[in-house]
Amino acid sequence: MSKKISQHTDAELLTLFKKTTQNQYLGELLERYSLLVFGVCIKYLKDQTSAQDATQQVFEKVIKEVVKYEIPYFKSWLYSVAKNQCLMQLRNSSNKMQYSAQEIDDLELTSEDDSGLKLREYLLQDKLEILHESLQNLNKDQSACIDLFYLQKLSYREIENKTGLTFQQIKSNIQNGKRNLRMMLETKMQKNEQ
Amino acid sequence: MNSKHPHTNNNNNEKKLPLMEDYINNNLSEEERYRLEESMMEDSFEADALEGLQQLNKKELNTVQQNLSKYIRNNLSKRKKYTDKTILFPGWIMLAIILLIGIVVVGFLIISRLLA
Repeated sequence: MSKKISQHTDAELLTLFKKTTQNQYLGELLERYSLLVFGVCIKYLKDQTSAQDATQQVFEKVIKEVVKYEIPYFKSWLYSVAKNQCLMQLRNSSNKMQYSAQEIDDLELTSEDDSGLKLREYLLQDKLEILHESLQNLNKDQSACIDLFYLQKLSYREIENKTGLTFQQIKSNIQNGKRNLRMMLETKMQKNEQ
Repeated sequence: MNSKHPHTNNNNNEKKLPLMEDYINNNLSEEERYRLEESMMEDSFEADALEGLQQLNKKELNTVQQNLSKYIRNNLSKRKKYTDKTILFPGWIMLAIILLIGIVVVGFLIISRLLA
């Protein structure tokens, strides 16, 4: 029995589109991610109209370029296209002074620390002692946010209520804390192995 | 605790989008919020998108979604027309065919008159 179009994976839709050139397959892929692309654009461009323009530019690029490349993982590729579009718009924007250097830096990083520390592995692998020890060495907010999120399993909203930090501050403390923690843990693990 | 979204841990994007909408509209329990936030930690695309989408309310979210769907449909149908035209009748081929037929017809008329 043949699948409904919405039941196909991204890779299947991409293959079907390239094979048949039928727009319904690419349409389903774009619809599937339209709101995510828009979300990324509004995060960086901070304005609904610009974000909608940027999203449409991303779609046009995808429609033109999707057949030109071998795309092993559509979602990651689309994320890069969306980030590059935002970066280009920010660079060309006459209001670019309103964006901090940090925001543009964030956007220029093609991948954040997805490949980095998997805290859950440490929680599962009986390495809690090393984790607790390293947590002490982080700054107060980073340590608190990581402890509340990963160890006490509190949502951002609960952390907001407990610490008085904003959503953005919590997110950034967790991200930076994870990065610092990864470096500390890697150094410790290397020392233990030697 | 009974979860209204048993698929909170599912990585399928299709199931996550309604969940993200519920997250933005404050329709999730703390446990469900936590599970979604935890899964976002491993996906920068979704994490960025969720952060951006939080700037919108439910009505704006629906409007944006409708506009984007409309744009995708219109743009893809334009692409189809263009593709069909380019494959079946590209402009320069049409012109060349008409010219060729014209030359053959005129040539035939001239030759047939000369022969007559």
